[in-house]
Amino acid sequence: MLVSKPPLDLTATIQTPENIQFEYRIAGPFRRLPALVIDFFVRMMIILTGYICFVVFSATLTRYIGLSITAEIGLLLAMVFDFLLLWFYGAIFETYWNGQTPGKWACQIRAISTDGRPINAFQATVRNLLRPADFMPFLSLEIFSREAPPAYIIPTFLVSLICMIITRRFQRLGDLAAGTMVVVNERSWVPAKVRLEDPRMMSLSEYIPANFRLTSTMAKAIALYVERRSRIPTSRRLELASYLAAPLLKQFGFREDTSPDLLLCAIYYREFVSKEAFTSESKVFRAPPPSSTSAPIAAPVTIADSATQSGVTIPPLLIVTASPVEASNNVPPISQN
Amino acid sequence: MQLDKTAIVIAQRSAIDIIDLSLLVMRTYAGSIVFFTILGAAPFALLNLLLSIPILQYDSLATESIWYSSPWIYRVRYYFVATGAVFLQAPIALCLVTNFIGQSVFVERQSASQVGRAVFGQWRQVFTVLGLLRLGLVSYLALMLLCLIPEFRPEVEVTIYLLGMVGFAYLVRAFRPFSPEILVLERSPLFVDKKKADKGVSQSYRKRSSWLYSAQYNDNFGIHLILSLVGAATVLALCSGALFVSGVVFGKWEAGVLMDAIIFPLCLWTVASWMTVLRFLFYMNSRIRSEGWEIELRFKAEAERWKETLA
Repeated sequence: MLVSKPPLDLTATIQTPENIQFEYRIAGPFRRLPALVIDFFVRMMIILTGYICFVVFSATLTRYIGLSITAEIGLLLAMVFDFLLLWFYGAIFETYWNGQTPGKWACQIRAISTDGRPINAFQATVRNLLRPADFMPFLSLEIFSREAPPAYIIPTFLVSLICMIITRRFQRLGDLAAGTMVVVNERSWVPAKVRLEDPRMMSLSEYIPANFRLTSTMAKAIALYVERRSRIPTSRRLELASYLAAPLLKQFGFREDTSPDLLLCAIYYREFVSKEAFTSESKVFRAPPPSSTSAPIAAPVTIADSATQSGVTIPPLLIVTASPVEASNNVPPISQN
Repeated sequence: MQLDKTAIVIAQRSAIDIIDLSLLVMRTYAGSIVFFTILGAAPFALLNLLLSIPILQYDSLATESIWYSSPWIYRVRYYFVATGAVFLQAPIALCLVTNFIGQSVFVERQSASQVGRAVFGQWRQVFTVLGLLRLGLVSYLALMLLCLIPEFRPEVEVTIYLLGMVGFAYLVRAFRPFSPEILVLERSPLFVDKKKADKGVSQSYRKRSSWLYSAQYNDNFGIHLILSLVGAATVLALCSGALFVSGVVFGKWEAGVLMDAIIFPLCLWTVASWMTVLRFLFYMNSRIRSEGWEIELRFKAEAERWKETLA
């Protein structure tokens, strides 16, 4: 029997009043936790810096002007500073930094409204003012020792954890009250180092019909395959590649026993390692910036300079000086081996 | 197995995303997971309680004569023993959860009898690997010894039990974490006769494990370390929460018999159940990565599109 419900994933779809749909990747409690820890340390650093500045300022005034700031005023200033920082650190940052605090920025997440719009000052303030409620229950230091003061300062985060588990968009109490949620900033595609070890791929790429154009989805699929193929066992790699390569081989009129893995690598090579990107003095090829017609993917490709997985040693001259055109020596389509 | 008909989207995920996703899975299958956890863990939990209560009583009496400042201190030994026991027994006790979640994600929701039949059909393999080799049932030898002679003997408790058994199991599971999945979901036999092996019809547990873990040892160890910390922190948070509720509702802010006998083991088994779901998700992610499931789906879709375009 087939599963009828939509499959589970960490995504939320938002429909704007203009009937446009956006899909966001939701940040769960464990993606948000490092941001919270970073923000805590940033706040502590600000407080420490504030104290040091105050002490230096006070000492300077006393020494050069003879004006001394009393301990009471110092304490008052410190308390006001602490209070503002504790309650409005998140609110100020999230209001003026598009839903991000330094911690959120470091963890590539941001708070947005549940309708997809950026959060406003009111929402940022409400979600941050309710933060202590999310940290509950607090435990007293007394649980460790009977002599310890009855200070309820140890957060257990249980309220926020339970709240996030039972809400659809991993919202804590503050998020529910402010109508916000935290999403992952979708980063642009980060190119990975790809090792294309077989020199025959360059030759094969020359045989691919010139009028063959990749669609963006196919380019993405092939790029994903080439990026990850080194971690997939050879037999499985051939099986995977044949799903896409089989119709392509037929279309190109290549021999049926042409290695599907090599064909996909050749397509990748032709698409992303262009002649313009080839720098003759380097072993590293830089792909051109992504064009609108192809996928937004550009990967630097390193050609292996030693014995490769397939046991083929690439001639150094070929790597350093040859362009893809020069490398083609009318090699016939290659069989699986 | 139809990869495009799974209950969880097939995609390679980071460890942090998998931990978040596990909460979503827990919520979706909450009722069944709780049911199978109780069904599998209740006998183990009861036996553990019976065997480890003498330690608690002995330590309580022994520490009455000496000065101590924390109400927790005499429980430390009991808590270590109880935690170690749950850690060792969780893989075998929660096989039902493993089977249920695996079947639900890849095939369909199974009834309790179907899950039970599937797991008991593999009882030899489960008993041998998870019960004996991974010390799930062997742990009862140590617990019985502690029950009979509850005085603190470091050579038994620290050397044999904690460092020996728990430490050994921790390391084995850190590098080879997916044994329950290989045995219960993939139904790998312990031994395969040569004819079948030559034909590639069936893979033995050992061969399958070697294939699955190759080139993933570092990742597995790192993930296991992180999950241990997350699990420990969650148990602490749950126990503290229970203490807070007890304080607010009953005015009792100190851990008592209820905490020792019921709440603490309950928290341990709750987290063990969550860790079972997490382990399954990491197993799935590992197969997505090593077998390229995500790529397979994309390639099949692209091939279809290509054929349609040509047609």
